Amino acid sequence: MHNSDDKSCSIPAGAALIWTIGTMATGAAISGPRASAWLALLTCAAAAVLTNGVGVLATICRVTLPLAAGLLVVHGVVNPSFPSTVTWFGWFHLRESGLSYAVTLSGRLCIIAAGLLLWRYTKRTHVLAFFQSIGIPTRALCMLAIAGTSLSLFASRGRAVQLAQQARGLDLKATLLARFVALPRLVVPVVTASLIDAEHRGVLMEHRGFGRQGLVLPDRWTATAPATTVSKVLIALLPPIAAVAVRCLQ
Amino acid sequence: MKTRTIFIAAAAIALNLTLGKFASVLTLPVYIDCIGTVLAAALLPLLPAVTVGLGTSLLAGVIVNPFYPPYAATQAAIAMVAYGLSRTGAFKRWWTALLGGYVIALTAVVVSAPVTVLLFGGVTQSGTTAINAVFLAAGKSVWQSVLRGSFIIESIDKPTAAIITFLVLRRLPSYLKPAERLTANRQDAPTTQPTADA
Repeated sequence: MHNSDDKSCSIPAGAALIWTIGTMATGAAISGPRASAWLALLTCAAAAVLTNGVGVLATICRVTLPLAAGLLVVHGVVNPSFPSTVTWFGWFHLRESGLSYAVTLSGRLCIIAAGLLLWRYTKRTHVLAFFQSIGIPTRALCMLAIAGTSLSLFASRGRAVQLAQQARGLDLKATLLARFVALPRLVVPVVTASLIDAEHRGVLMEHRGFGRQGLVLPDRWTATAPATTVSKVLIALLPPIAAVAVRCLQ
Repeated sequence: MKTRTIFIAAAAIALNLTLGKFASVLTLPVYIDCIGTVLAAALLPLLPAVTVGLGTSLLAGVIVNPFYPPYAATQAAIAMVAYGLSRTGAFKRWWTALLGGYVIALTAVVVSAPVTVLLFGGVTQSGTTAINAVFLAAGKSVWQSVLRGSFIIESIDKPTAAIITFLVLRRLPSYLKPAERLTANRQDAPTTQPTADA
């Protein structure tokens, strides 16, 4: 979810939601390593086409490969509930059914990652306007928007507290127990200051009339067309349609 | 939902997403990604607290890692349990906060185990996966391994979050605490303290 004016990679929020629901249903319905691998490849290719680039593929690999490697080791080698098919040196077992299970799950995770990563290519304002148009409470959306914009502020505050505590003698390479004891010295000031700051902002905005007559999004948030009835029906029907389609294809 | 509630809940979500960096800076085996949720449960009504949990998972799914949203139910359950604990006074003493942390840990393990087993095949964070693999190699089932492995990690993480919540609640000004927030006329609340970016 970015906020730039770059139109080249801006995906409509409605399309992103339909894509996410479709991929989730596909991931849930999938079974078997071959179908899983093929559908994962197709989903990744579709994600790359939708985002006009291969950057999404790199991100999918970055988040999925560590889990896929873990799955292959845990179920293909370690998990004794899968029968051993090949044994080397008397102790290294390769489990074919475990590997198939790991590939199926890895493909599913790949599809889910592709389904959710598309939201990084939407515009924050359009997403908020779209969710408001399909009936999500504006206050909840405001909460998410404020949280999203506060992240950099909190990160810089955390960095400042860390540097201050290091100047006061905090040792980041002490023993495990000493580092555990040091954790509140870093966290508590950041949390306390952030909550007091949030309260002040809330009071300030309340005095300015924020939310007094119901929350109204600014015009720049409502630049996209609201969701139509057809798109709402499509969103509602997509999971069973995708699930049935995947089952029929397998 | 009041305006101040929205801002505190938003801060809690942002804290959930940023505090984990401290754990990685100190190379500690904890995530501390639920301190904001527990604090929201202690400071706000139930619905905003649950919204903080759900919002954290959704926002983290977009910003941090797409595999956060499946654990949204865990964050919601943590919010509900922490809300109950805070209303029974569990965060008023360090030892009750510690016990409350274990209750939250148990809840988190039970709620997240089905997601970890069915969706991720028992493989999630590297540390937990290593512990799960040890249990699997010892002949335990995937469910048993995930429940035990997760509890080992969560029994460090969630009590830490509960103790930090206790420390924060002690240091917060009185107008931010739940009992004072329930009263309509706050005497010592700030009126206008404009910040640079407000």
